Amino acid sequence: MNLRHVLKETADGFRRAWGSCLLSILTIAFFLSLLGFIALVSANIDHFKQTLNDRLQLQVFISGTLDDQQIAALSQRISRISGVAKVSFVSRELAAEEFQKEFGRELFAALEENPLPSSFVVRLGITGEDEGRIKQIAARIEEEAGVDEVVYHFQTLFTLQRYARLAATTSWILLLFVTLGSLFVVSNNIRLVISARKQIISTMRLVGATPGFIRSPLILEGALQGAAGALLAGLALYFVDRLLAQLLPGLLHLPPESLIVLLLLGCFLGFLGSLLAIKRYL
Amino acid sequence: MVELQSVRVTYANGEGIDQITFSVAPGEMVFLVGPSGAGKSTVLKTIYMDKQPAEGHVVVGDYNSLFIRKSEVPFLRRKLGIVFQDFRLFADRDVFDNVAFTLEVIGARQKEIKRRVLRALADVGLSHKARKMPDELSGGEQQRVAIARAIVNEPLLLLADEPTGNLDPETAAGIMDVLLRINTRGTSILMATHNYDMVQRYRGRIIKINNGRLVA
Ligand SMILES: Nc1ncnc2c1ncn2[C@@H]1O[C@H](COP(=O)(O)OP(=O)(O)OP(=O)(O)O)[C@@H](O)[C@H]1O
Ligand SMILES: [Mg+2]
Repeated sequence: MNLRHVLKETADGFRRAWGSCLLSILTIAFFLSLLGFIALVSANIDHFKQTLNDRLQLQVFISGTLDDQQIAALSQRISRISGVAKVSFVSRELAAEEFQKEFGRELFAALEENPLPSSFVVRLGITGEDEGRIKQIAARIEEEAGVDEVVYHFQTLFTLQRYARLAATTSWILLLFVTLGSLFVVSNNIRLVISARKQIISTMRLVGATPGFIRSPLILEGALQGAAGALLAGLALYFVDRLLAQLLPGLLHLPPESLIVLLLLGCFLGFLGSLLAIKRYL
Repeated sequence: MVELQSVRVTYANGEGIDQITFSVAPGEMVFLVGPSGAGKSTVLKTIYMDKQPAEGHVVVGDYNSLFIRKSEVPFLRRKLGIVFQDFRLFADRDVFDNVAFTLEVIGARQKEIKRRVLRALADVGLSHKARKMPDELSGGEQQRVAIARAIVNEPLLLLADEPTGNLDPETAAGIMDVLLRINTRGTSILMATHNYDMVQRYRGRIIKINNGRLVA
């Protein structure tokens, strides 16, 4: 099969239905940039979450009436709770020192006596994925005799987690739309090309053109539409990425490989779209 | 070379052809003559295997309608040249490219294509119009282009379905001359027509068909 023919016929197909071809390219570009944008957002959320995860710890304040032996026993009991990785003791004195380091000597000196309780800093051996689990562990620790209060600052993490889940769900739904939408616009375009070329195609069959010979320009046209859409989307994402990086330094960037993924996805969608039209209308 | 044996084709409305048996030998000129609706086009369709016989079989060269696979049909058609009453040229390309198309389909090389297209155009007397578009040609000229396209790959058999049907008698005579010339050089031709009077004036075997059956 010769390439010249395929390219010529592909160009001809574009000429015959260029309006719908452009529409389909723009639709694919729009869908794919949306998808890429969501991917960028969820990559950043993941990254941020990871950072927070590294600081996943509970602060366990203990009653002032415990003696050293009881404190050691309590430490033992807490570290045996499943999900707890490490328990370190922060004495009242140490807490006061840290307080002074952070807020200044004067403020502390104004107080009659050291109001700070002793505490444990409990590092968890689990990731922050499981909000319920963390609360469970906190509650479990709070049940221990001698524990006054368990404090944790996971609210941001939990919120973030919700956004991450939302982003993930959104991108899956979006992927579905991208797929269906792209398949629809491409196959619609190819359908128009087929109907514009109906006469020609039937004559091609009479002179002995194989199905592959007739189909390959149509397939190529679909795949090129997908690729063109993907390139446009890549361009749009590049600029969005740059803009965001200026506004919020420290954000993750789209890795260059993602452009290749985008391009492959575009080509594949275009290819599949024209295949559908061919199966139905040729 | 081409042989139909007790061929029957029935359309949904009950019409069709039945018990069609004849053959075309290499180099032969055969006219298939009958009134409108007699089944001429249907006979041709069984030869280029657009229709499968419900009974009987058709042999074209190495291909037999009983055994041919769908994927082989394009290759069978490359052994045939087909011409219709309504020309069926590609309106979007010029005369040369119309004729070249047959060779592009089989993947011939550009040099080869050029040589053979120019020769086929010379055969039908249209060398000087190679770069015209179809709509710049008269009906007779368009039919010559269609004939050039059909013979450019040197077919076993040229099938012509009412090739002069759209043309005035004088132009029709010109087309007949072209066909006979091609036949003289060795290409066998099977031509379907309702015009018995015209056909009688030319040499060639006449097969009559009526109501889907051969007439003795
Ligand atoms: N696609 C079809 N569906 C149903 N019936 C058909 C079809 N094609 C042909 N027929 C019927 O089969 C019979 C033979 O038709 P065919 O076209 O072979 O005749 P023909 O001799 O070529 O006629 P014409 O000279 O008008 O071209 C006719 O009665 C016609 O109505
Ligand atoms: Mg007919």
